[in-house]
Amino acid sequence: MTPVLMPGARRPRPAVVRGENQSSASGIVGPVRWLLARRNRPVLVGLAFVVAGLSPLVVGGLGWETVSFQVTVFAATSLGWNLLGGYGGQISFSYAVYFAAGAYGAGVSVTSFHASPWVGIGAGVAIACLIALITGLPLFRLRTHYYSIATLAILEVTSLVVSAASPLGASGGLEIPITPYGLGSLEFSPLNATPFFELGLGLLGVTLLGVWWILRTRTGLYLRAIRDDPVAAEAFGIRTTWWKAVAAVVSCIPAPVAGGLYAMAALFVDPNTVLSIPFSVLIVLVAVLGGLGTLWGPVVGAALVITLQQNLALDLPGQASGLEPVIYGIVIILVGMFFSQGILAARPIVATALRRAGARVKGVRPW
Amino acid sequence: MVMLRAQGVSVRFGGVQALRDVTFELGGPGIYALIGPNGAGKTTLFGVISGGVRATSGQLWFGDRQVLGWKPWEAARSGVARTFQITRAWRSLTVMEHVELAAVASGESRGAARARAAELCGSVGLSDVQHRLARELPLGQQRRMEIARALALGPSLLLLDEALAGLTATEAGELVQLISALPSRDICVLITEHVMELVMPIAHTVLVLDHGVLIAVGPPAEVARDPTVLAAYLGDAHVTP
Repeated sequence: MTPVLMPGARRPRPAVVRGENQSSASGIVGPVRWLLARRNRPVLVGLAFVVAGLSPLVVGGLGWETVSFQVTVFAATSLGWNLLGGYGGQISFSYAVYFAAGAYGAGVSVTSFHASPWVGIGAGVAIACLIALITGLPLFRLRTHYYSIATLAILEVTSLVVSAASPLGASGGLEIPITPYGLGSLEFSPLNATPFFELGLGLLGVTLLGVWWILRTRTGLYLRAIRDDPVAAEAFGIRTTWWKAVAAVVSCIPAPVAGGLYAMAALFVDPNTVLSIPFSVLIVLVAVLGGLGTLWGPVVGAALVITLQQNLALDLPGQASGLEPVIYGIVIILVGMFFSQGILAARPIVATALRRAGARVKGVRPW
Repeated sequence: MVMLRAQGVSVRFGGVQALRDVTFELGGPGIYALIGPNGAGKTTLFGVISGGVRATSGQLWFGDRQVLGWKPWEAARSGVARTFQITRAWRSLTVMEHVELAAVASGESRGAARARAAELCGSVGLSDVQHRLARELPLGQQRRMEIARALALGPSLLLLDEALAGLTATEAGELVQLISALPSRDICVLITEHVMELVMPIAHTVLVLDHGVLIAVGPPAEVARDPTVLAAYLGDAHVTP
């Protein structure tokens, strides 16, 4: 007789005797199963980062490295955004401003002060945090969509100010001169994008670790409560405006670092790119398509969106090159239609498909 | 010592006078019932006490502090916890996380909060479902979760807003049993209810609101015989002089 399950109750899994199923499987199944276990997730992630870090040795190529670098930059920025937007429910369009703070900070420190771009990136982080705090405290009193509109206004105002500021290159942009190569000057051979990719990967790793840690602290718990029901959160002692401001300040930190790396890789920064609405939307889009309020959503989203965007720009030949935005747009719409909760929400579907496939191979279960 | 004292509290929403010159005192631990027909102003008074509603005039003391106009988070941190008429569970949080959050917000460390949350879930009979999302639970269990969450704040005053509404007779009976044990934890409970029979047996003082006016305060048996109260519930025509 089939046991009746209460709604929401977990279906009991058949007991698996250790070693019974492995006997007929190949030797690789055991280690793979061990790696896929939830408690060993950090090992898997660490391994993935090591593999990604070594990948230029195998895959190589300037185009691949440039695209991968951009993926890491957007993933890190969007991971920060996701802390406030995905977990805290505050949809902000001003992360491009924080990104620009680092980009211009790096650029100005080289062009005007002949200093290391790292100094400018540090200043950019400080400026971004200050902007996040000063704008956050009054704006977080607004309801969600009014807050989002206000952040668009911040983006527009910053764009106008930067476009008129001659020390920042005004609307024409700031060209960053070539200085001796090195990690301190953040300049490397233009034929080798590996250093920037490795730096981007490092930033992504640190950001992931930081966000993961914050989510385990009370801040993570508070942010989810504030997103789900701010009235109830206040009734249980949470100063919602304060905690949203804390999240805004912390979550903006990866953006200026990413911006600094981005500017130094391009040796150019202009308001029409980094302070544009499409650029700002891209940061949001990456997290939304990947999976809002999930740790890995922005990484998956950046891998999809940026790779698609950049490869279309590189690969479409001749007259077809005009179709790039169309194809890009269609893919975004399709993802939005079929994975409205983000690509990561499709995990159960993929897991089921894998289990079914695994069940066909006698004695082998994917996990 | 008086725990809560309201003096001439009035609230006006535009043209509606929700509370008019309400004056009362709540002493130490015990169960106080705030009753009245729908629209009498019970939830508004809860809002004033817990900080969500701004009073137009009057004074409110919590202990020896004047607290009229305080923020909800200030009230919560000072020891005023509440439940809601329509349960407000956080969508993405498990039962355990709800209780843990309140314990953390009251100043406990994460580890201590987790232990306390587990203990409170057990004491309200939710141990079996403590790792499930609170939103997925039936109403009766959600109400228990709200009480556990409120207790995690370590309150001295607990406001229960229609905690029995929508429950089956069995669920309501079990919850009444749970609520009647709260004063032994040194808690002063103020419970609103419009069904008098449910709260009369457990309350030691009853406050009756009608159209924003406090029309009676006293022991349940006395209030139940009060002609003004009967008129408010049944209409003047049904009250024998």
